[in-house]
Amino acid sequence: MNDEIKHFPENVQKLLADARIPIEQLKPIYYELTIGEQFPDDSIRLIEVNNSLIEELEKSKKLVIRGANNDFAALCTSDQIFEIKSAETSNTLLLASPLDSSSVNKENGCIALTVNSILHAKLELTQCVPRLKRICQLFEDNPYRGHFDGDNDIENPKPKITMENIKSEVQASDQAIDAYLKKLNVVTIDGHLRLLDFDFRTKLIEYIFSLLSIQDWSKDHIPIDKCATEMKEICPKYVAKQFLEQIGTMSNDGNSISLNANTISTHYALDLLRNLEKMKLSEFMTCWRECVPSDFPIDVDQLKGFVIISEGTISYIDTDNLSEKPYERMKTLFSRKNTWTLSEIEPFLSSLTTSNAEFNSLLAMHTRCIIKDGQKYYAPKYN
Amino acid sequence: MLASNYHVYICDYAAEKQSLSGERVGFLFFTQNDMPVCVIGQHILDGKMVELDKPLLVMRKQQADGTNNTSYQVECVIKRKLLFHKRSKPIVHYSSKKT
Repeated sequence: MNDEIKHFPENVQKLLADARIPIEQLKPIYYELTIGEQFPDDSIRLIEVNNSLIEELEKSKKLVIRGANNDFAALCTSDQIFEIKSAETSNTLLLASPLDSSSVNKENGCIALTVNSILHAKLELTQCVPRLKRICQLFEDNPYRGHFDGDNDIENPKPKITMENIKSEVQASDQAIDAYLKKLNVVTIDGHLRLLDFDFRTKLIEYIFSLLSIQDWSKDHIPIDKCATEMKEICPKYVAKQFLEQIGTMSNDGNSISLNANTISTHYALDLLRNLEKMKLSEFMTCWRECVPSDFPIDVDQLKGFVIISEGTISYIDTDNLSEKPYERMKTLFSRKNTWTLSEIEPFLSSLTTSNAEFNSLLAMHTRCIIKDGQKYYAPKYN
Repeated sequence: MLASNYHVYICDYAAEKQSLSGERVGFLFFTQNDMPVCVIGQHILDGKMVELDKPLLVMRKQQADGTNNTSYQVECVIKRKLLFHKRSKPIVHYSSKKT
């Protein structure tokens, strides 16, 4: 017997002898497993994560699980979202932790481990798409219309929406939520969030244009503070400020903005189309050119994801209100137009998928591909 | 030895017991070439150390603060586990053999 083996106490030596485990092949340290005081500890969950999530956790110190009561649980980081599903493991997991290091009994090489939980399942994460539709639903009841705002209706008070409401209920990453709020033109009024009504936005834009010509400002260099002050006739200055920041790009010094040509042109196009069933494309292009100031370029490509062009006509489609279920969305799209090219349908489906492969499988599942005049078209799978 | 404070032991059969805090489950040894050997009751389990493809976070549910918010405290990250995947071998006592 060498010195090391003497470390094992007698009962362990006997056990090893009975088990016919050659002592000389073992390391001198051994562990004794005991059941912990809190066993079974049901408050423990195991969640399987990838390394990027660990980095995120180390950086921001927390991850958030979001959703309303009936939703599945979704884990959100600052830029990604994962669906949480429980998966049973084929083996039983015993979770054991060492007592503090002082419990290492140097004398006989024994380290005590306590088993605190026994687990049969772990939580798994699958990346999924943000579900932003609820944001629209929250806001559409009560859009903001400037000074003539109906929010002071004391008999029917509207629910107040705060950033906390959105961030606890909407299953999306912070980045996705912020970008979407900006896209919708949501502003903060008296500490809660309000959507700017579409027609009110038109009014604001027209007003800005009239100010541009009166004050002789360049559309690429609008002084935010002055402009917002001038706009006080139709809305409070802080609302005007937020709106200016949303439709333009801020200069480096933060004092002026340059109007975003795309946003302005698109707004006018939607203003023309949103209350019509459809319009002849050539007619639409003339009207559009007439209402957008001549120094803003217009191009049908700007309207990708907002309109459907079919047989020489153009019609508006509200992407924000399309179903989040792939089948329903496909049904709606194909009811509006029979065959689509890839680039036409892509903007309407990209919000349902997280990767190219997923996008392709979505198309394969719901459409069939036909080739007409050398061009690929997608048609519904079942008529 | 393990990166985390916790070790995970996977047994091919459930070594479950009724709640018996303080009760000894068994002993764990390591051979000179780092293979784990676990002795539980009359069973000898040979296993191996496995690096996890995806790490596991150990989360503990916190008492809800009365509102709708529930939080989980992440206690540690598990990167390796001990996997006992082979069928257990029984211990045959010398003493019983002799008699």
